Amino acid sequence: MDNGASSYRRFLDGDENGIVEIIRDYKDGLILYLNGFTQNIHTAEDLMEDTFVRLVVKKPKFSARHSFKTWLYTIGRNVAIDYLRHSARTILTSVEELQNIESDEAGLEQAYLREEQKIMLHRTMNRLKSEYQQVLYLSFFEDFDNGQIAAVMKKSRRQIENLMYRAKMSLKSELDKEGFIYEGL
Amino acid sequence: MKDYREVAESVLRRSRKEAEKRRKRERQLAVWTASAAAALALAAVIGVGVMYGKSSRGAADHEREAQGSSSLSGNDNLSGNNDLPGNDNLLGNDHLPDSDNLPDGDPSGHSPASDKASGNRDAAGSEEIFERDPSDSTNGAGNTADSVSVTPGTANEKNPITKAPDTAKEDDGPIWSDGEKSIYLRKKTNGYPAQEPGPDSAVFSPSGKKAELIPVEGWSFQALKVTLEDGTEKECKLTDVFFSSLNDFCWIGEERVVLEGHRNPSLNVYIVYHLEQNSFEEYYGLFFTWDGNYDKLYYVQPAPHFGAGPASEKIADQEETIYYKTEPGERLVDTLILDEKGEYIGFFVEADEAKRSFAILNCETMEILYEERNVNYNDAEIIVE
Repeated sequence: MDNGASSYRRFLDGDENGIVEIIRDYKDGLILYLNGFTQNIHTAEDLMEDTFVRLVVKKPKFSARHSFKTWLYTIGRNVAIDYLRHSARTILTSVEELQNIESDEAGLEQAYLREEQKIMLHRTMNRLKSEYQQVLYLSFFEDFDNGQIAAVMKKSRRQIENLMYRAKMSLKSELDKEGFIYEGL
Repeated sequence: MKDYREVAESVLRRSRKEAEKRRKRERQLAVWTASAAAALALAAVIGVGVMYGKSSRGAADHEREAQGSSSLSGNDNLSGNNDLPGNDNLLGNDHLPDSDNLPDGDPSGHSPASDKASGNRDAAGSEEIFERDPSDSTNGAGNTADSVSVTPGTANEKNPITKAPDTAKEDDGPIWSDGEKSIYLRKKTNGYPAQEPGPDSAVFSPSGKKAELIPVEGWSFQALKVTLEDGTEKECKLTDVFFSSLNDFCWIGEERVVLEGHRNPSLNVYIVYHLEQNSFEEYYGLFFTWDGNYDKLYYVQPAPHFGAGPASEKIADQEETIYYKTEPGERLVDTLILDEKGEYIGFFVEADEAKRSFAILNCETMEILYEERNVNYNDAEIIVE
């Protein structure tokens, strides 16, 4: 699915449906990816919106050097980093909100990941370091290859390979604790 | 969780608001620019008026001396300044000033200041500015950062700031001048000699020396390996230097390699490797910036995360000299801008998102020379002449 590029072109030509299609196709995945930064699904949802607002207001040029999805996730990452830089001293979450977060996250997982095994895997990933979560999420759930992940995360391929290795080791150890085996590891 | 239609609706609504906000900001900038221009013109007119007053007083005094008068009623002439031609023009009067109102010795009523003041008459009319197209950068109303209104500096009372003439904005003239030196901000042309790291994270010096990062077995830090032109290799372990991604990696000349690694969104590590000594220095902070000759490295030491309370951020150099310290809670954002010799630093301070200002600091005296609010001079360099 790389219709994002053509939808975006249509949007730039003045067709608002273009951006609506992009939001429909990419919003859920983007939220789960951004959740790797924020550890808060509601904040991730806000950042997802911010990402699309940035797209609509600034209308950045898409060069097709990477796939549209890779490009979009890179913008999302920049938005998340801006957010963390600005709010690093003020992240506070109440207990009630935590409960809502958990239920909303579960709902999104059901809708986007669908398979029980993947949901289990995603939940285990949430216990890992932010960078491990991001690299594993992009690889397991978005089917990005190492080159695409390197582009999104602004790292070299070799760094991604190292990171992926360490992330998988860490995930495996977490899964072992649960007595859960994932064949992708 | 919203469904995609709700999200799309919200995104489009917010985007429209954002666009509206931008338009408003541009209009405000236009009004501020016009006000600043009017204020400068008024100041110039008053200055010229005082000069005329003095010279006419002087002439009157000479006359009185010649007549042997001891009267000090020369002050009468001062009241004539209230009727200066420039004032009339600023108030929007189109008629030329009566020569009767002019100070002695100026029968034509024509002066550069009055010309300037009348030239700014249009700019002072805010109604007309609101009707202008805010996206039209050629309307002279100041949509670009270069024509943002000037707010006088506050921290340099000992050495009062001479503001650049308002026409400088249009001419791309100095943003600050003390009579001897002038500071210009220009779009950056000769920036940092960044080289894109290749797939192997290897970079080459102009003469072909190769530098690359290699893993160190059993450790999570890396080593810098340099291969000289004759194939000789040098290796330097970056002991206990950890970063998650490489932001910059390049040679400075033939003797130094620098690399910047990302640690977290608020902190990078910067390594300067010296080939001859096969050693490195490490700095922790943000916005690492060299002066034009790559002699001095300046950077920002950000406030610690999750500190006990609001803390200050600092601008330092590689010798840990602190040049500027923000008020607790204020943040240094975006970038540092340096002139070629590293004598002046331009920087942005943000108290909150609505209060952002740009300042220029003299590195020698550590004084703020210039301050301007609500601006964005990203991608600029300072030129001192």
